[in-house]
Amino acid sequence: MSLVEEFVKAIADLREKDALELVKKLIEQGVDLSTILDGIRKASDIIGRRFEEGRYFISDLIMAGEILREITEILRPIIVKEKPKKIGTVVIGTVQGDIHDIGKNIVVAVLEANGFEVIDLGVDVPPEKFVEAIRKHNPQVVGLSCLITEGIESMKKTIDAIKAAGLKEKVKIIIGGGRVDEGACKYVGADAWARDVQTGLRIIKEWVGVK
Amino acid sequence: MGGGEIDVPKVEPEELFKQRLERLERAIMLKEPDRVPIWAFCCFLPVKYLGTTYAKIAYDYEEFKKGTIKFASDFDFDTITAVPGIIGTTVLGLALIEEHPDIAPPVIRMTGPIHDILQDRYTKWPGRELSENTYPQFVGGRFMEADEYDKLADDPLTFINETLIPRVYRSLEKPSSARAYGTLIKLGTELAKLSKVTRELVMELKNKLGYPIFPRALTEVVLDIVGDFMRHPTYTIMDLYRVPDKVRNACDSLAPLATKLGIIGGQTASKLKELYGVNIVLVFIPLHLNEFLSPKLYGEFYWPYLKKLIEDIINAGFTPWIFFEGDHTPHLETLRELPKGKIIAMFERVDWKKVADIVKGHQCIMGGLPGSLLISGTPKKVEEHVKNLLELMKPGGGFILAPAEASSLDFKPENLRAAIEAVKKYGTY
Repeated sequence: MSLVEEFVKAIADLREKDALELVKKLIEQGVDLSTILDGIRKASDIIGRRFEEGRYFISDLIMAGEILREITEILRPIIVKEKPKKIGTVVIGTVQGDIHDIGKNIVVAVLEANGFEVIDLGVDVPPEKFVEAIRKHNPQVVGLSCLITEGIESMKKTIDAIKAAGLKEKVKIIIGGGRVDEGACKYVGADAWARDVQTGLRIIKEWVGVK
Repeated sequence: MGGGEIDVPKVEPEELFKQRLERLERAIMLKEPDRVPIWAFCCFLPVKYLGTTYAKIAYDYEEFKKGTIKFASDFDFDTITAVPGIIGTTVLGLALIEEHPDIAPPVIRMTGPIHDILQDRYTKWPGRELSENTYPQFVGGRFMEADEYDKLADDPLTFINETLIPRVYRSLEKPSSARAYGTLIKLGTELAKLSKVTRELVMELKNKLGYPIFPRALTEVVLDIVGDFMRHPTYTIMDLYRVPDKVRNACDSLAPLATKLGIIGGQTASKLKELYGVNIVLVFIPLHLNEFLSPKLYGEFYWPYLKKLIEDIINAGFTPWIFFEGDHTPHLETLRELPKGKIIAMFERVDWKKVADIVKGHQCIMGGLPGSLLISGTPKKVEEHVKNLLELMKPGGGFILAPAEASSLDFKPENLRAAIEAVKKYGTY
């Protein structure tokens, strides 16, 4: 098994210490950034697949998200220097009135690991902040997150504001969170909905034309 | 926003009370009642419907009482659970359980004024950290580090009292201070006010509207206490991978305190049985990390403690009312390990077919009305949903319909009405 393969396997199996040691080793050995990033994407795919097969659960995704975050931190100086090409930009945030972010943070880690530029607006984000961020960052995708049921109304207000600003045609909007469903998606006027990160990732990748 | 026509009780409240109580008791005991009961479970009242705001309900107990009465009289439920706050401060109950068991159970309650008094970092409130008409929320936080598990395990009470409490409650930051002493006095006064209003409310619901209310205590399973009140859910989960033995030791030390809080709480609540005119005393156990955990972690760090907690509460003579928050589907099988017909199992999102296969006939099941349907659905869709659900859950008894969701019900009134009508149409035996 090559070092990169070992690295991929360590992430996918959620062996944190091994994964962090291996990424440092890869850097030391002068393996190029694109190879390392490719390995991270592969590992993220494996994790997603295991989640869909019912072998991994949210606890595993939280640990995976943490490992991916730590790896990204280690790679950050190189990323800043080499500026690898991003496959798309996503503006994401928990909508106004809701201050929960566990799910959203997993999504951010997974999107970044998959090569997306992610603008994370945080929690309790008012509609105008989303509008402002869309104008500034020109994303292909906007992700709205909520946990509490009240968040559904807030998502509707946010999407209405995006429409009123004439920006709806420029972006695709996905909503996510434990209590969203098909009905909520139609009601708020989003393009898609997801309750888990893997479904969300697949939809977003499709939208930006990556398979 | 008005409520449409009011369901004026055609039957005397006393008679209604008897009918509803029997309906609920039979369902809880896994028998067939006359029809499926409806339990208005609201973590918070539907403020939009009531024409009020979250801030008013959270901070003004009279407004809360008025709102609950209006909600309960506009709709024909069988019982109602409404609180003017959110679960917010279970650790204070744990802190006092050994030294002052008589006052430990009520101090876990959290309302707007209590938040102002304690200045806790667990919760955020409308008109304070949040805007006037935002739902109050529990966020928790990281109030201990992973290297403190040993201290927690060695002496949980000292850790909670001396390390955790000053970190969480700004007003108790300096234990030996006038501010801290004053805080505790104010807290006691406020709790007395709250319990007076609660009692008045229950009596009014009983005597004027014929609603039975079961007295209720609360406790939590240890991993949730660690996750919600000490380490934050995300870090708790990472700890299960990084320092599993330390988490286990801490859970082992904390578990007897959590059980005691439930049992003493049950005993305190039992004193109200006669006044409330009911025989069942509930111990509410809301779960949180259940949905996050893989079956392996659930089996190792969650279920053994939950099972023991449930069994101890049953043995003490109370009915554990478990709220399986999130999607509990992967762990349903474990419920078969419990004694039959002794708990109320309330589900949020779950595979109802699997619930019917695995849990039905074994425990009383509650839930089934998703908030998103009440918000974004139509009366026709709601009727269809209830009809299908009842086909699955009604036969044999042991089912209670409830809007099972850990937030308020800012629904369309016509949708809620449709749900109640559907139960009357399809839910009779």
